[in-house]
Amino acid sequence: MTPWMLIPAHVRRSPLRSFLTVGSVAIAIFLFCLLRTVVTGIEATVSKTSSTRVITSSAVSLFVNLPVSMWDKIRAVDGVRAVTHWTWFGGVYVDPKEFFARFSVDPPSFREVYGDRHPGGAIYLLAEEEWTAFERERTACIAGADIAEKYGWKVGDRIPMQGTIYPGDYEFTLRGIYRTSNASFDQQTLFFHWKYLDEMQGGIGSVSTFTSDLESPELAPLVAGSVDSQFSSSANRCITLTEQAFQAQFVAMWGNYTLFLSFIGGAVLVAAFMVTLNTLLLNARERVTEVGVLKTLGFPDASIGLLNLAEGVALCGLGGLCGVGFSLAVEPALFSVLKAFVPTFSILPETSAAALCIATALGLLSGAIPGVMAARIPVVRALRRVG
Amino acid sequence: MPVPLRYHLRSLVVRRVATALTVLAVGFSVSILVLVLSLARGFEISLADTGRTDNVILLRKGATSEGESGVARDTARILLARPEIAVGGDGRPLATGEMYAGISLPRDTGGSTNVAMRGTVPWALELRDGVRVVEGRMFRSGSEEVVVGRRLVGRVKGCRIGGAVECAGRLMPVVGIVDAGGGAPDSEIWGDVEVLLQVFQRGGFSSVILRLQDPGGLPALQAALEADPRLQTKGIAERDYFRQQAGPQSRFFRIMAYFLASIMAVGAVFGSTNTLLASLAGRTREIGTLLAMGYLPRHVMLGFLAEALALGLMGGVVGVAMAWPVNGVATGTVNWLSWTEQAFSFAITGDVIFQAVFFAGVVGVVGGLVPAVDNSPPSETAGSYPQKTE
Repeated sequence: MTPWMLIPAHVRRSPLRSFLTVGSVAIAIFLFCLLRTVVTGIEATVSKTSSTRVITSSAVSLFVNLPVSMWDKIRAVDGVRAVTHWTWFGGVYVDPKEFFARFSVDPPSFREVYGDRHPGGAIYLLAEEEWTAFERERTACIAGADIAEKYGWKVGDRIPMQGTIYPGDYEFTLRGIYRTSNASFDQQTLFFHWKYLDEMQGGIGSVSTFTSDLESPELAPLVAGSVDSQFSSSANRCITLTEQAFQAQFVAMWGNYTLFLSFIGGAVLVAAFMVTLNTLLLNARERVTEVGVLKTLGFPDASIGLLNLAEGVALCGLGGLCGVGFSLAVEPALFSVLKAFVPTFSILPETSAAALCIATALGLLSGAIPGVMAARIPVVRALRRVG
Repeated sequence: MPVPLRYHLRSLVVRRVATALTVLAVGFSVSILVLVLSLARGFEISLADTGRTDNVILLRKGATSEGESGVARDTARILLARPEIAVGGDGRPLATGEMYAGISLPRDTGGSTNVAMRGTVPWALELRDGVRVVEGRMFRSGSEEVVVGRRLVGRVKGCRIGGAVECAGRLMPVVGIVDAGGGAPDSEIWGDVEVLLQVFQRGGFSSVILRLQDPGGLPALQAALEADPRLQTKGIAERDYFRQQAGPQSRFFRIMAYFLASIMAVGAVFGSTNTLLASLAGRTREIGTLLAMGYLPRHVMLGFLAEALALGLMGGVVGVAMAWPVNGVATGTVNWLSWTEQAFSFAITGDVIFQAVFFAGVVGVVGGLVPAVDNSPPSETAGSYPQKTE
């Protein structure tokens, strides 16, 4: 038999201290959720990619373009359903600090590979008339919902852009605001016509990458081999990777961020553990006489140990709930701050569950030490203590 | 008369478990701050202290980095004949067109990365005099030889004397290693500009770099460039250029450091408040004794604040010590503006340590505020009742 009613009484005994303990666990759990979500957000750019798309880029580097004449040759490779191309534009919108990705693409084939004409469903979600409007007009562009919201763009707005890699003053007309169906694709990119770019530059004749949509995922190595070998002897040697491997390159460039963020997360949790352990140890020390009384009344050692353990779990569990609750509540606000750095920010159920488990474990660990101490102390020694 | 500091310091020793746990809790928060700040500092050092103030980089108008810029040969010819250019030891004008590109190279640890490749002249060290060859020699004019920055050694395959880097299907032999004292060239590969322009099939330069005859002559040069509509070029001091390249990213690292630190500070304050509250609750009688001996309540309160400050500072020292092993550890990230690998080392510099210890002190004092005020009794009798608990 355990006097469970003592737990709320203990927690209420010094409300300020209980609040501070719950608070420090809540803060640690909030930081854990935040850091973990940044990591899962970045990982999602790789993990949710399609296996039927392969991307061809220059073997020299991503900064080197490929001639647009390769397009027809890649289309002719067996197993390729459709091919489209992307070209990195760079550019300045209002101020160099206002940074988001801008690509020039070929709208009809882009629609076939990523849009509503793809048999497996669209990545970029636009209404049919928006797709058509984008295709029809040479200076049309489409933009992701996140940047459209940030700059207050509406369909029909004119968006000026100064070229950096491709000098000149460009002006696009917004013909659609897209959302994406898949976490690997952000909603922060502007797409416009490659033909407009080509025309402005008096013929650039080249593109950054080609994306080929395959008839089935198993064909990827075959198609990649056949595309790469076709151009292996030319000056435009290329390398074809699955979409996943292609995206993974970008993530790898960041360096070992997972380890770094995990290290920070670990330190945060250890600090929280120190705080709760300390509080519970001090609480237990104050209650030594009470432990003696309980033991005299006949409560077994195990019950007294359990009481401490349960107190730890109660405090930390509450802290964990507050931390997760707070993280979920501020999720949209955090995303608007972090938008520039992470493609998506959504707290996964796994993250919340892990956070609650960690909070409980913190409680068990920090309750166990005073628990064992309280269970072991002999009655006489406990009662002898004064003050 | 204030309560002797000895009493408070001894009290920290007597309650050593509570003291140690609090110091560690503050220490972990401080170590995170040190870790992220030293990352930011290392990154800044790798760019911000690069280059001279009297070297000018000329870029195409609108371009924000050398990678985006382009300067046609006709334009370069006009620029290289400018009268503002200083003359070197052997009568050579200190100016050249350069090429800049990122190339994809395999990392030593697997995977690949983009490395900055700069086409320049064999006498580039005269122009960039902070850079020296520490091993091997400079590349020869008209050859496919290259020299590599010292930070690429051990990170990127082939970046050692006798190795070779693959570029556009050619293997370019590495003949030297250069050291820029932590600056940007430490992460670059340099080769002959005319050879590289051919390899990359480019018709024009990326940028032009020149040394000013008059160190204060940049505004005049800028005005002259602005006045000539043929050029479409802007000039920027080399040092400012690299500082700008570091700008957004080091701001991000710093924001991250202060953001994490401020959240963790709240946690640490909670922790130290808690410890002191509990410790004072068990010391009611001691406080009563102090007051009975004639110490004033405000002295007792100040003493507790000093105790809290000591806890915080110890946490600061422990935190810096815990983070210390990362000092000098080499790491790298992609530079957002050039999109190439920027290698650097964590740098726990004096200002990082100062900020960390200051942070710890503030955490200590703020953490001591509530308990000190809360527990400084109005009169000696209030404190002298042993039965009064918190």
